[in-house]
Amino acid sequence: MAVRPVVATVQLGQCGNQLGLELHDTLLREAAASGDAAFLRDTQETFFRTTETTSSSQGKLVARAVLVDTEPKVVEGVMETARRSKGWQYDARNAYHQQGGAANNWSFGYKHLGPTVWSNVADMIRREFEAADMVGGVLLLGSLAGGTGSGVGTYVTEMLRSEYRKSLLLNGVVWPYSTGEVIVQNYNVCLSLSHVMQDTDGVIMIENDHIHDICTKLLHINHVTFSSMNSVISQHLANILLPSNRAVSVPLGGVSLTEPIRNFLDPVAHLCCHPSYKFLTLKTIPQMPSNTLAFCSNTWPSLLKHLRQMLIVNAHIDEAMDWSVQLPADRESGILTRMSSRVGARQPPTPQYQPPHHIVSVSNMLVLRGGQLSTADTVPFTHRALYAPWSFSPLLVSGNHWPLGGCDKTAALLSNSQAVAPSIDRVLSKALLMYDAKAYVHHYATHGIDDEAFTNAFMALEQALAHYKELSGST
Amino acid sequence: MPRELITLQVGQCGNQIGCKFWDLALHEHAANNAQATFQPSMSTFFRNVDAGGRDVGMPTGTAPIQFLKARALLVDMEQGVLDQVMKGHIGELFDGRQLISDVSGAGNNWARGFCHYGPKYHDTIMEKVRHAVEQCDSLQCFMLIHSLGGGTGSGVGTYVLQHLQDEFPNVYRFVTPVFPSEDDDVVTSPYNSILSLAQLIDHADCVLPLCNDALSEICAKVSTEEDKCRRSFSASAAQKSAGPQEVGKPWERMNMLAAQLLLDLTCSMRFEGPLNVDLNEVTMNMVPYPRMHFLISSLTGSIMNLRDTPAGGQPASHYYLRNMSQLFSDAFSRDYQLITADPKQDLYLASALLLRGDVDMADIRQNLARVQRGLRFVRWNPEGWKVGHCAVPPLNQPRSLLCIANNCCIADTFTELRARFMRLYKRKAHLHHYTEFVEQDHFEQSLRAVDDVIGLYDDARTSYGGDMAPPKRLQVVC
Repeated sequence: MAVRPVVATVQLGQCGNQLGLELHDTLLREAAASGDAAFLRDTQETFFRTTETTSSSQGKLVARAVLVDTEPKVVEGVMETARRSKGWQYDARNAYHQQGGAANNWSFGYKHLGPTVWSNVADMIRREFEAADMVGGVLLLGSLAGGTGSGVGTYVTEMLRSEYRKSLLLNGVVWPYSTGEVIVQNYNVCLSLSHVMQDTDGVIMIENDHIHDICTKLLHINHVTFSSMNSVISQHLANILLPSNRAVSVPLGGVSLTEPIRNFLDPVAHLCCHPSYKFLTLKTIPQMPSNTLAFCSNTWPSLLKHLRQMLIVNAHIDEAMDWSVQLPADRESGILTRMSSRVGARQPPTPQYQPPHHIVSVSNMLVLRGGQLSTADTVPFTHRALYAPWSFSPLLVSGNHWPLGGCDKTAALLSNSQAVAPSIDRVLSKALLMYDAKAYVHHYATHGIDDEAFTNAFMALEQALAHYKELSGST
Repeated sequence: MPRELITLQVGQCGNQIGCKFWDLALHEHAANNAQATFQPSMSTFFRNVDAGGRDVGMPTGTAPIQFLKARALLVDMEQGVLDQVMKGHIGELFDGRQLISDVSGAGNNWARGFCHYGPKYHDTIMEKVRHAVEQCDSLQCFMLIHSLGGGTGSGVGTYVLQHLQDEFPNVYRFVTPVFPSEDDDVVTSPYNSILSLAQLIDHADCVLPLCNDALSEICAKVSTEEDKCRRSFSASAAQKSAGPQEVGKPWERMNMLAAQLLLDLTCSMRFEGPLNVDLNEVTMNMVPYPRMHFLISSLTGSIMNLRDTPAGGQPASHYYLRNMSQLFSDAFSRDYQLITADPKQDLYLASALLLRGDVDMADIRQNLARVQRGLRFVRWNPEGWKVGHCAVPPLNQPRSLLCIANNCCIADTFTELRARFMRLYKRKAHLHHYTEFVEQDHFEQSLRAVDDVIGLYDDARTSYGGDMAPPKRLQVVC
């Protein structure tokens, strides 16, 4: 049996810990629901380990996770919840928390608390790695709005990079609601992203606004809580983290599964091959309320057409999309004729009419889960106009026969594309507006983040943004 | 899960509010602790001690409560109030070592408090503070409760504040001062207020002022609403449970408001919730510039059980529940502000919403979007909110909302206090009582400090009150 590279998760702050709990639970639950022993075993080995069965107790399933927070309540609550109600638990030695909180202050988290946290947490991670035969990488989960996930998380990312140069690092970062959860959130987001993007292999951007929309508009959840949002986020991440096989297009149509992807974080390396492009977005389809799942039967052509349009127009939900935005004519691919017959007449580009801009990607990963993969035509996702001219083999397709989330077919798209640009742009604008008035900067200066540090952070993000915007110009 | 907070109640008013606070705190924790074990949440305010007064281990949630002692220091330069406290039903929460008292009082003279009693009791007070700090595992904050109009609360209170900063610079200092009303019967209250205010400007991290007039109006309003609800609910029920129309002295109800403010402010430190907010996050988000740390608070939801104290009688809240949109509307109305002010008419620098109990995110966001339209925010923080949600509701109510705002209208409150100060100062009235202890220049310095802060808020109104200018973007070359 091939050795499976493991993924250790570092859960940071309230958001990271609550999300991490839900994620581990979702991974295990979905893998068990597949009914396939190999699928379950692969999932368990990657994200969990089994403690030894002794004369007094059964071996238990323990998450390969480290829980970090700067205040005690959440870590203790999460550990207790796992222990009491789930079929798995956290290792009690892998929890570290302080008392005072990070005060929503990135500089306090990064400069002041980070070193103490790392000195305690480094051993926990080392222990997890030593317990594994092969290390795939580390998944860090946390929000960007506060002080722990953002500030401490940045420091931990940097330390992980310097200690484990060859391991893959993936940061799953939760963006706060744009209408505000924390007043200084825009500073914290900018400072985090500008630092983390230098050391990480990829940043998956999860936006509360988007998840909230999915909950209300697609899942029809009346009372959206952070708990319901964490379930949705976990479902999305499960799409790309559960076992899958590489898939290739076959001449007769559809895709055929080939060898298994062993290190689940490998696709990250594929997507973020260029150091200037590290930000990823995740879109999944379909998103349906659980009570309608049984009545729904989707086809791959329909799902993939909608998902492709979500990519093209940067929609986070499959609803009220702008179908008039289409890719420029490409005679070689001949795809457009099929697309344009769908809605209205495609207008030829004239000097007066400029077609609305579509999202250009560096690379994409498409994950298909469910049956009838021979009907899944992924060729439209290889359209040249979707990618920067210097991207080669920009599309990775993977899949698995086992469906996810009670839905007979699901497709997920992990994208390194311009889809990240509007959010980064918005956060940068708001941060600069606040910085212009020098509001709150004295709190950051107390812990060593001065004007120069702010300017460097803004500059780094502007550069990242410029790189992404440039992708359009070059097509 | 120790995350302690030490309360310092100074002066008559400070101690009266403080006692109401301890009473409510006990009831709040009791309501959430059916097994009477020493919960981690209790360690913020209380210690669990044995008969010898020694701490009983770390709070794990399983150890039974033996004797509770409050993490508090009670200071007064007269003995009347402290004696009453010790004889009352919460007297057991304190042992003699937590009290510092004298006999003569400070004569409603800030300078006597600050320059005579402060230094006289410096060593005693600081030693007791240090003792209380040593009993903490991870002290988060000092909470000073006092009034500004008298002599002890204002003078001794601000004296201690200064020394807390010197000796424990990393521990946050939150202050809930009671501002005197216009018709306060202490003639020298304007002097005491301005002199104290100057100290709060320099030495406090966060100040949540209270005003007797506002508190009294809120109490009257809530009582009227409760009466209406009771009458409409059931005539017979109203007859059974209503006592005399005036239940409890007015001061008691006003003190309960102040006490509830402190409980709602710290609930997230103690109890779990989907979106925790610590006190250091309040300072971080609510204080955009140094010295502009004066926050206006409004309480809705949790105050609806004023009529009956939890100790006896039917909770009046049974008849008077507010839903989310009512809570939000009330929170921004001038009627529920804890000082006499109308923040809606002025410019908001920052605002925090701390919700308790049965609320959901969608409701919060919807109501936020609705109220925001009627408010003016600084141009560099057009939608800046700090939101917290604690799962545990307040006593006898399903939900509540504490709104804390950094709003320029506080400058008007200061200006009004300043005007009262000047009316006395121009004529040098009663000045000789003070110059016995301080140089007259101290008055000038204090006035300048207050003027500076008024200036900061005025500047904010003019510079940041207009429309958003687009931010300067950095030009980059790829």
